[in-house]
Amino acid sequence: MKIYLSRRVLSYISVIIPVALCSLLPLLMSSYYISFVALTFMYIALALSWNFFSGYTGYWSFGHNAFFGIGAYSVAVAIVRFGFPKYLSLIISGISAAILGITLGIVLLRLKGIYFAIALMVFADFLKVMFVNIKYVGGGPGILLPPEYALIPFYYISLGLVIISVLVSYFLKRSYVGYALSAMKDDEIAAQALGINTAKYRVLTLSLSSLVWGVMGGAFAIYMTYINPYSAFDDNLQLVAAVMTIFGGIGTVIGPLVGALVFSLIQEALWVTIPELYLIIVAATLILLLKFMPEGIVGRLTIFKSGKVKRRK
Amino acid sequence: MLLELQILQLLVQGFLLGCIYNLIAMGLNIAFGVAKVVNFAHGAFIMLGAYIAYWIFQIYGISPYISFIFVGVIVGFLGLIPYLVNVEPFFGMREFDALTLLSTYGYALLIINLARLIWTDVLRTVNLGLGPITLGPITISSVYLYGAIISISLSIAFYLVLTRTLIGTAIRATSESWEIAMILGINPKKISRLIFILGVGMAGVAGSILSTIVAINPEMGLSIIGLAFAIITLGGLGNNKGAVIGSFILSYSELFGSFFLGAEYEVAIFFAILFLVLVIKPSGITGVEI
Repeated sequence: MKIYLSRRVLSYISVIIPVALCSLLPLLMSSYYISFVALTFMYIALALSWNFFSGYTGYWSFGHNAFFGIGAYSVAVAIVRFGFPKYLSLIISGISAAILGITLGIVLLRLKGIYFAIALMVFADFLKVMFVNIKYVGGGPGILLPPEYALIPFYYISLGLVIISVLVSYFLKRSYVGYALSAMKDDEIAAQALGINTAKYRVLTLSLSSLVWGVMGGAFAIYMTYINPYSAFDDNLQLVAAVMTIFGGIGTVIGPLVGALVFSLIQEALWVTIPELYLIIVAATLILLLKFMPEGIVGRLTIFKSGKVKRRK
Repeated sequence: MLLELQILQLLVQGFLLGCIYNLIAMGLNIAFGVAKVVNFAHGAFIMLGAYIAYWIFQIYGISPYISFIFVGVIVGFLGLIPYLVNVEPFFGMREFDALTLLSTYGYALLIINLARLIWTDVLRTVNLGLGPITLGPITISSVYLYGAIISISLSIAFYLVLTRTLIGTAIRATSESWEIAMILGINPKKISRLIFILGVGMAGVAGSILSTIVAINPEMGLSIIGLAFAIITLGGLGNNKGAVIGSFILSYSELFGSFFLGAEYEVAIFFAILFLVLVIKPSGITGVEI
């Protein structure tokens, strides 16, 4: 008897099996590998959620580290100053980052292209400077969280955020919102003329993306048990998320996932062998990538598959 | 000291500091104004200029006030590498802004980390042994004064070139519209290449002047670029008057903010002004509506 598997069932299986495998992995591995995989998941979640704002809308953000930092600091303040339970405070970090995202989305609504990118970047810098100066949150030396080994929770939170980001990326792409965003990316004025409320979708995607970054920042703070303004508002995090996204294919659904996975492996290999050259190689990769393959791995494959390669100049 | 005298002191100091800020932001601004390139590596080139000036001073004993022209030329031609590899091929692409911003970010990281590898994180200073100058009731630092003089003379020279010469007219035409410049027989690609070299060269000059004022280390490349971006965004991207206004707003808000409210609010006031301006007028103080 032949068993027929419909496309739908197959696609469910192809999602469920990796997820099940990933959730069982901590039982099999040593803590070094668990922490490596957990950090990889963190990068995947960050890259995916950066992509569904910047990649889908075409508004490049260079200040997403602001949301990460706000998330990290909300958790730290909630736990240390108010004695909140640890994982409940992750909700606070998500909410505060999302509120910041919505506020910035509304306030910076009129900024376009490069102005938007610079404004967000400057804002993230400003927050960093502010947190260095505010004594209540520990100032420059930072703030200590209750020390507790929290690798396994961090692993599962990261995995959960990866799943959420994949789902959001997928549904944003395949829904009315996705087509609206796509139209908006091509020509915002034309999209408005078609009756698309571009401002609404921009704020919506920014708030979703800042939510993921905020929760991730909170989980990272709990995992590290210590944060300071420089680690919480780390520019390199934003850069690496962007590089991973471009590496995989910006604007695609699984591109950031592929890019972050491949890039994390390269990154880990570099850290182990030649740590002093790590950022130099990241920078050189970025430069060469933008020169030769700005559409990324998945973007290149898609173009190849759909035969668009002939039409490219 | 009397309050009036202190305020006079702050006014003079703020003017000198503003001139230095203008020197930092000027090159970035002209590169954006004409070539429409957001050069994120500007800060890294300033850092490079500072190091070159430092080594010239250490090895040959030539003061940065003399070597700055030479440093500017070297750094300017080094700037040609990112331009030819990662800026010129992107002209005419839809994602030009994002691609150039990210590529130059890559160059910034590359230069800064190479510098860290070669020169380590040690703080270095060019010690010219110039003391403060006392002018009646006020005292000013002489390195700031010389830096401000160089900044003002460069601004005036650039302004004269822009308004009184044929090449300046071609530059202004290119910054208005590439198509019309082409109709008039100007090669906008050549002009923007020239302007990019000039902009990065100004970064080299700013670096050699800064080497006499602050302690130089590789990290300064990133801290300066944020400041320079904030200045030109406040003033209006690509507008020279805007960069001057932005520089002075930054210097005065820093000095008066730290004087009246305390040092921890030094930067906060400027950022608050910047944010408010962006919300009210997204294109900056002097910018045209986008």
